[in-house]
Amino acid sequence: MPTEIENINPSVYGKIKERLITANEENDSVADPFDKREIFDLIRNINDPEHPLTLEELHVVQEELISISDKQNSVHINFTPTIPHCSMATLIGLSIRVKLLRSLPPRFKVTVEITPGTHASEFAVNKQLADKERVAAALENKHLAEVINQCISAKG
Amino acid sequence: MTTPTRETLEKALKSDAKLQAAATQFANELAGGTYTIADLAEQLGFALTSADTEERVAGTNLLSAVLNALPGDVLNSKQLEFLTTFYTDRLRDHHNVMPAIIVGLNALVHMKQLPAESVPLLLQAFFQYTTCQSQTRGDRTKIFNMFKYLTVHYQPELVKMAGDFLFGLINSIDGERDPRNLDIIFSFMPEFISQYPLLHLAEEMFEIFACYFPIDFNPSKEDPEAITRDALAEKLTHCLVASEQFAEWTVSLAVEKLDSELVVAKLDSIELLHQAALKFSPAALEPYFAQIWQALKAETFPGSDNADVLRCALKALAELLKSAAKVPSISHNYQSNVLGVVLPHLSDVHHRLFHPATAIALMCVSGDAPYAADKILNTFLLKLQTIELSMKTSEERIKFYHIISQVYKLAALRDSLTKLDKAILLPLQDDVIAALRLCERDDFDAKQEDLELQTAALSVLCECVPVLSEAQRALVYKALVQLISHPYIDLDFKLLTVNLGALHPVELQSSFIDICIRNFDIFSEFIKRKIYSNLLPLLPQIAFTQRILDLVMKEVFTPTVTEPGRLLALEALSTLLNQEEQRFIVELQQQSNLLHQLIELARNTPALPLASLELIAAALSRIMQQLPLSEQSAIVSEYLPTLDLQEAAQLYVARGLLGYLHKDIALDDHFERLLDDLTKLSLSSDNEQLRTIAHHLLCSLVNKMDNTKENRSQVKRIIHQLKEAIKSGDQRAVHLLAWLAKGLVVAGFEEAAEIITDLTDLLEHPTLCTAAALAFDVIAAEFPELDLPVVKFLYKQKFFHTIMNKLGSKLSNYCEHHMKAFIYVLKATPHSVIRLNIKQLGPLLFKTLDAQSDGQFLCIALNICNNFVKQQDAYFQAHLGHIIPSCLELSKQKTQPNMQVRIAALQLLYDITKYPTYVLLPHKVDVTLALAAALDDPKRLVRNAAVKARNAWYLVGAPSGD
Repeated sequence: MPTEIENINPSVYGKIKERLITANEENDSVADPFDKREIFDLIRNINDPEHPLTLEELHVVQEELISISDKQNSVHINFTPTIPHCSMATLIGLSIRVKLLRSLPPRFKVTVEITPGTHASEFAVNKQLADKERVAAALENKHLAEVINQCISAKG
Repeated sequence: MTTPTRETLEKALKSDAKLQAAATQFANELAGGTYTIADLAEQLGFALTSADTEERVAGTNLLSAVLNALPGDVLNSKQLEFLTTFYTDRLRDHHNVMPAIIVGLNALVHMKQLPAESVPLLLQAFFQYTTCQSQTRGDRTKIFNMFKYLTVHYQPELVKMAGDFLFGLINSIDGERDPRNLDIIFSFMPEFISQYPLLHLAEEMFEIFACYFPIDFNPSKEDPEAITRDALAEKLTHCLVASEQFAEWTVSLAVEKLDSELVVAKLDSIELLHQAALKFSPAALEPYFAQIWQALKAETFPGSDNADVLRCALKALAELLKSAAKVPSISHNYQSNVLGVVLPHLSDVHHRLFHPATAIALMCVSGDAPYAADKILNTFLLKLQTIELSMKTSEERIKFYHIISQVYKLAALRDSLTKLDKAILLPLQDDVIAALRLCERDDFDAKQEDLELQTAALSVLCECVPVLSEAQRALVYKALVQLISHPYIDLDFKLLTVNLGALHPVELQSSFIDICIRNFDIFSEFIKRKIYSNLLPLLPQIAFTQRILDLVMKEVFTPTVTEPGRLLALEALSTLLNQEEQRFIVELQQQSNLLHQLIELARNTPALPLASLELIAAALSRIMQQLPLSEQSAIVSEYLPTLDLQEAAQLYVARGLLGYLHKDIALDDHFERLLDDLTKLSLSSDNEQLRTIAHHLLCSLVNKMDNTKENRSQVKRIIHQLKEAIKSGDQRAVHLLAWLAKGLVVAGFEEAAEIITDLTDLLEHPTLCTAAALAFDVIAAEFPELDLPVVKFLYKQKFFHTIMNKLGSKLSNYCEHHMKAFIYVLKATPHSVIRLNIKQLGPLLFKTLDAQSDGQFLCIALNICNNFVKQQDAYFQAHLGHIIPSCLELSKQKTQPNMQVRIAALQLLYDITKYPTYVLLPHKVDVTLALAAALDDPKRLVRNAAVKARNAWYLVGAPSGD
């Protein structure tokens, strides 16, 4: 972890309320499809590597920037770094990837990308995140795995 | 008897035990006046002045032991002076003699008639010839105890010694390492420091304590005296703030140590600042405030991750500001410093620093309310004026309102609400009222709004009632009337009306209560319910009691009132009876004979719905419970004989009267009839609700019955009757039998055992086995609404063991219905009892998990397992190899159609991850792979549980996985 914090006073936003449990969800015979909100719930509590805040509170991930197709088995997520030269962007993207890798059924193809136009080296980061081998290699790195585990072992 | 001879003395000196015995004997003789201490000393002279060190040590030891054993008032001042001189001379002796001398000195200073002028001589010699720190631990303890005694009892003499004593004391303490001695020192020094002039030695005095800060000490586990780190730290803190002269050093010490990475050091430093704020005068601390604020700001703004540090730092800051509030000039200086940093951040709720800033701002208010509250409210006012008040829910406004209401609350707590600047308050309150009145507008869509803004506005209004202007109050009343008569909005403003009622009863009555009551009849059911729930909290205020009571009574008892109006009124009556205290209810009953009216209402109104009857019964039993015993008994004998229990309304009345009847009231005269009637009803009625009431009543009745021969034979008769019915295959009889058994089991009657045997036999019955299994659920489960006052000690344990024995052989063969019955019993058995028998129960539980049985049983079994796993039970740890595969199997949708079971299994898998890593690692790969299936479960709730469990398993043994 760098000792100097890049963005000392970021904007903080409210959290959305916990998802209400509907009658259908408690009914055994109705199937609930995956939806945006469910994916959002999976990643919104990931911690920011710099601040004791979640990605949701910093508006790094937003429900509107998620698209999912349950039938075509695909999930697409855009995330927005707080500042355009944020050096943590790759780490945040990696955390989102790993969290979804562990939380979504293997049938889904997950794409994690930076929201277009919000980061200086957007293309490079996207390429890194899309590279399965690099993601796997990153998880072999003990130090990196430690930081990622810290980010995704959310209290909630 | 005469003075002891040299021979006796020589004998006594030979061993420690003999010496102690001789010392006690001599002390007794001295106290009895047989001879004087001078005689003894003279006889002992050979040893005291011997050239042999060993002998001198023994001689001095004997003398000291004698002094120690003597009562405090035997020796006169002359003798004591002589002894003091003797001991001060001896201080120059060989260091081996020192322990004996210390014992003697310690005994001497405790003597009542010690001449005060000997104390300085004694101490001077002591400081001159010895050093405390070269003594052993036990001797140092004695020395410190001696100092402690002297500082308390010889204050004037010690003050005269001035620097000499202080210097000697500082030297003695300097370098002390033993926690037991430090505990003594830290205990008496604060008192000493605050009462003695420290002269030029203040800094030295401070330094001997500062070197221990922050305390780092781990008590050994075997230590019987068990001094804890926290206790030492607390005492040390008191030493460091004992004198105002320490202020400068204390502050720099605290600020320096606050920089530490250690949480303990941080907390200790903050506590030191907190104590400094409490002890030192504001003038003494003022020069260092900037330094303190810088340090505290680093901890609170934006604040560290550690919630404890943050909380304590805020507390210390609040204390500092609070103590400064006594001196306005200092307080304003502090406040402008702090607020200057914080206020700019209060205007943007989206900034990371907004929350820390509000926390600090609130501390400012709690310190100097009038000054800080004005400034803060003004900031909010300016900001609020720039935000347009619109229909769209404004997150910012809501957050501001919540903080404003807290500012008001704190100001009210400090009694300074009326001191605040009206020029700021009034426009602010106007804004809040305008926000509340948004819902009066025509285009306000109550169905879409979540009314959070209005709730926030109400919370502000609740706090600012005392400072609302008359015009503002008029608007509030108007808004309240609108709110209460609004067809959809249901907002809770009870607190506001209660506060308004307390301060402006006349206004509230004419502008709000009267309007509600006058038009009551024309309102819809929804509005009526709102009116009841908002008026009832006002009942305790005398001005409104009668009016509100009249309304409720009228609505309940007027014959022309139609349903559901009466039902609502009965609900209100029920709430009323539950919220009021005993005195009120007893008075109400005496004045209006409410009980009689209710019974008449139930009996005479045709076709009263069951829900209304239920409420009447609840009201009756609430009133009955509050009445004195004699009255309860009179009422029962008045009404009970006239009731026909086969009729619904009268059954409910009986339930109201008997349900919570005091257990000391004998029902013997009616017992037989009640048993017969209720049994008949239960066996013949088809209405489940009525049967339930009959069961509850029967259960409660047999539980409370007097243990007499007649009563028991009655019960036996009924049991017999039921058995006959069971023989003809009547399920209802099984059910009723279970309820009877429940009442008997709880009270510990012998007849219970007989019923349980019968029920056990029924488990093998071809048609009644399911009903019999359910019967065990009835007996074991808890029913909060049921009154079972006679409770046998540990009846649950006893019941469990009875069942264990009865079912034992069948259980080991895993017979289905026996298992079911047993699982029901286990559900209600205390965890500790199951734990005691886990060796026998474990295999049963695991078998239940493997058997493809009913979802309900699996849930109960999984819950019991979960209770064990949560406590990291060793038995379950040894059987993880069995539980984990069972749970994985249960979590799959293919094999387990019940989602509750799947969720419970996943929860259990999650809780298992709390076991130590080495136990879990062998299963990790299997579990994470197998859980992938549950991630694709059709039910979202199951998926959520699976995500939680799988992520937790991934972290098992992973770097920083906790």
